[in-house]
Amino acid sequence: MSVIYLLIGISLPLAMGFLIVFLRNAKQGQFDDLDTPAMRILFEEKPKSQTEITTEEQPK
Amino acid sequence: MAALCFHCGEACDKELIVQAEKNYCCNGCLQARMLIDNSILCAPDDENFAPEINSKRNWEELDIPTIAKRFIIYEDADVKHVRFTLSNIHCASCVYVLEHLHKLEPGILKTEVHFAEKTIRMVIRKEVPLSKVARQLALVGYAPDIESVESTSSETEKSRKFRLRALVIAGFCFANIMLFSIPEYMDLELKNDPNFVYFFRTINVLLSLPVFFYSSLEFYRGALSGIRNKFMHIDFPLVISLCVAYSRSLYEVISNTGSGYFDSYSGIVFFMLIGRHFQDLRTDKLGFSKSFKSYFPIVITTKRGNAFQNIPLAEVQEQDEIEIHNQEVIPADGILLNEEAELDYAFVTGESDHKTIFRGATVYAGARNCSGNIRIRVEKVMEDSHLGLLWNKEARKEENAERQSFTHVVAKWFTLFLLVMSFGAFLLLYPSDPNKAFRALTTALIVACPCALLLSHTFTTGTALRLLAQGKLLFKNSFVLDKLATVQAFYFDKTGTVTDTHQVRVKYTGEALQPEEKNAFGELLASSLHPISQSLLKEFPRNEHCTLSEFEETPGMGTSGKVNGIFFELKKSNDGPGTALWINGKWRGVFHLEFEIRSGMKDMLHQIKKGNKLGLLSGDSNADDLRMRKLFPFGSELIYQLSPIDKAKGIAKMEETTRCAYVGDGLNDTGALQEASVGISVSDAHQRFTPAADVLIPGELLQHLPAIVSYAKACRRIVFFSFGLSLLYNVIGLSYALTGNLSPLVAAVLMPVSTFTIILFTTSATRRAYNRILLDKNHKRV
Repeated sequence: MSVIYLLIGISLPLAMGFLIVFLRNAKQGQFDDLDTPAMRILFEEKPKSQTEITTEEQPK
Repeated sequence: MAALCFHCGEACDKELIVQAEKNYCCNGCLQARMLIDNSILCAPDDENFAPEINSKRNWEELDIPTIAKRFIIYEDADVKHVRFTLSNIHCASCVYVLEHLHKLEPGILKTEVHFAEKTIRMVIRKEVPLSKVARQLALVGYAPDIESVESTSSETEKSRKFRLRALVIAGFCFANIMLFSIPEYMDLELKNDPNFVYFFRTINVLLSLPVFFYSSLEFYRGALSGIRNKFMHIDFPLVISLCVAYSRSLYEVISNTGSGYFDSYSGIVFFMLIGRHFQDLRTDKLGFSKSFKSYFPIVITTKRGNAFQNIPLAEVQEQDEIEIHNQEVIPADGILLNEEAELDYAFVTGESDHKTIFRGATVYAGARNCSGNIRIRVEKVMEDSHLGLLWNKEARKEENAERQSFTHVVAKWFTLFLLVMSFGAFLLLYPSDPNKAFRALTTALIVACPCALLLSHTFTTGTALRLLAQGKLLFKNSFVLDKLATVQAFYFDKTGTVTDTHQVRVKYTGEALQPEEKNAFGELLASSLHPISQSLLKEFPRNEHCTLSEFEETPGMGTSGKVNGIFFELKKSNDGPGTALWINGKWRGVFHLEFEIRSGMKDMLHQIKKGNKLGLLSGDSNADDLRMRKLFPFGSELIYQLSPIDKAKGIAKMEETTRCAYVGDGLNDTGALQEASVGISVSDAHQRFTPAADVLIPGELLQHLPAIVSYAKACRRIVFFSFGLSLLYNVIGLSYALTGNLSPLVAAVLMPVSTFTIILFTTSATRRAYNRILLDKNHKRV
């Protein structure tokens, strides 16, 4: 039964990993707006031209 | 049946724009269609794409640095990030247009819409002035709402995020502790190996640390603030319960006498946080965050030295000479420097007729200027003005609301009862078995935690508020619903509340118009901008084959013009109220404008009258008394000619004996809305702000007020019933605990079971009551 030490030793850090990912995403605002992305997905875009500027790295 | 929008397919019930024989429900859809036709599918064609809508304003006030600062959230060497509130956002097309703005305006790099908050965040090039961006937004039909920016939202935003983190962490720890406790409860062979037991307990202790030190912080704060303000906050018994449970569990683990109650403990924290989070979920945050200042222009044309320049309102000082444009609201008390001005004091006095004043007379803040540009010398700035006296008690009311809530009353007695019971058991058991007595004391405090009690309230009101918000009825917070259920007196404002200012009925007394005069008259009205002419236009529609000449319109004086050879003059009547019509220099008659009573008012008032006091507090003269007497049931109080301060005083006096609700609309009702236990604000336009209201109700739903009140009462009954239910669980738990027999397993089962039944019962009962009272009755969502 001592395998349980190993199993818990793996599962708990794994679960904590998920928790941390969630907290980080929440902090970055992934759950702030749940309506607009659903609408945005309907837009058809022309392929992006070079002048299009990506501003993914928004400062906080 | 309204036409369907060509672009989004929704019914065009709010407005209808017809363009190229196709119907659109909003400018957003029209613009989206044009964007698709012009920019996306074909080559961009900027010349073609410049509709002349909303483009009169130049927004130059946004270029004043102190004003601009309110909208800029980030700035560096190349770009700035700005945020605007756009109240026009209402469908997916709006999002589409706004997020493609960079195709129209090269200075805009990126836009991001937050649909629920109706805000837009833009990344623009540093050198682009905000006024240009605002002009562009206005051009596509989304003029930014710059008057009503409030910076308070970031604080609440922070606490929401904190609560979410606390909730997630508590949930994580709770689930894991639960799992790691199972071996203890089950009769597994693991239990016999001290190493395993030690291992699981250590993990549980470690997992409980963040719950105790991080997730529960909110409850400690609540309890502390209660102690500081000397009243029993509902968090107080909760914190006692939590602390006892935690120290008891630690003690058991350290002394190696048991596994403690870590699972129940973290479960309590988790469920309580869920309850709070649930209560926080709001669909519309806009309504209540605005303040009265959003009525005023944000920049004022002020004389500095010899020249006039635009400066922010906050910098206007006494003795400044300021210029007020047509239709702007005067932001300060002052002396009129023009010969004459026509002012609309509806905000301040509730009187719907315009007033004409002359040079040297005092004008009061809150008046709307209806006569071209006027100049004023400021005597008192906003904060000290006559109007400014109307609001200053908001904070006090807020605090009282929480204290008077019956949840807190129940909590107080419950805590007292609990303490008496547990110490009684302790003293009773102590002589025979000190160990058992100690255990009885601690477990009683753990199991009888008022969490089920609290959840009854949070889940009932949370569900109710959300359902109501879906039906466009907005409540400021959950306590308002409690209070609405106990209100015994209802007072109504007249203009804009019982009557609908958008439904004007024209009454004409005098010599009837000839058909050809009627036709021609419409042409004159169509050219006039005055609101009275606009109302008359509905009665006298414009005819195609007329020509207008010698048209003249003097603000405050009247309108005149020659149509098809007939000379019309419309001016203020010399004897009494109304607007006189002169044709070819001959007096013909007087038009009286009267606001229609909203539909369903009579039934509504008669229903309310059953069991409640009812009254009308009007700022107008009693000219309308006969009509109101017919409308209000016998025995209602009808009082006229009240100033806003009279109204507030009247309500305050009533409040001493009876809980009142006041139903009103404009700024002139602010004082009364504030004084009443429940201030209900009626709004007609899309975005109407209300500084002191607790409830926002759209005008067309006012007739359902009795149903809303009875729903509030139903919710109150649900909370009471579920209080009973949770007390039942507490009695079961206590009967175990007080005899000193509560095992961790019983606690671990009882706690979630009671919580779940409470949540299930309250949410489903609240929903059922909503369907029964507000939905079925009207066969549609109210």
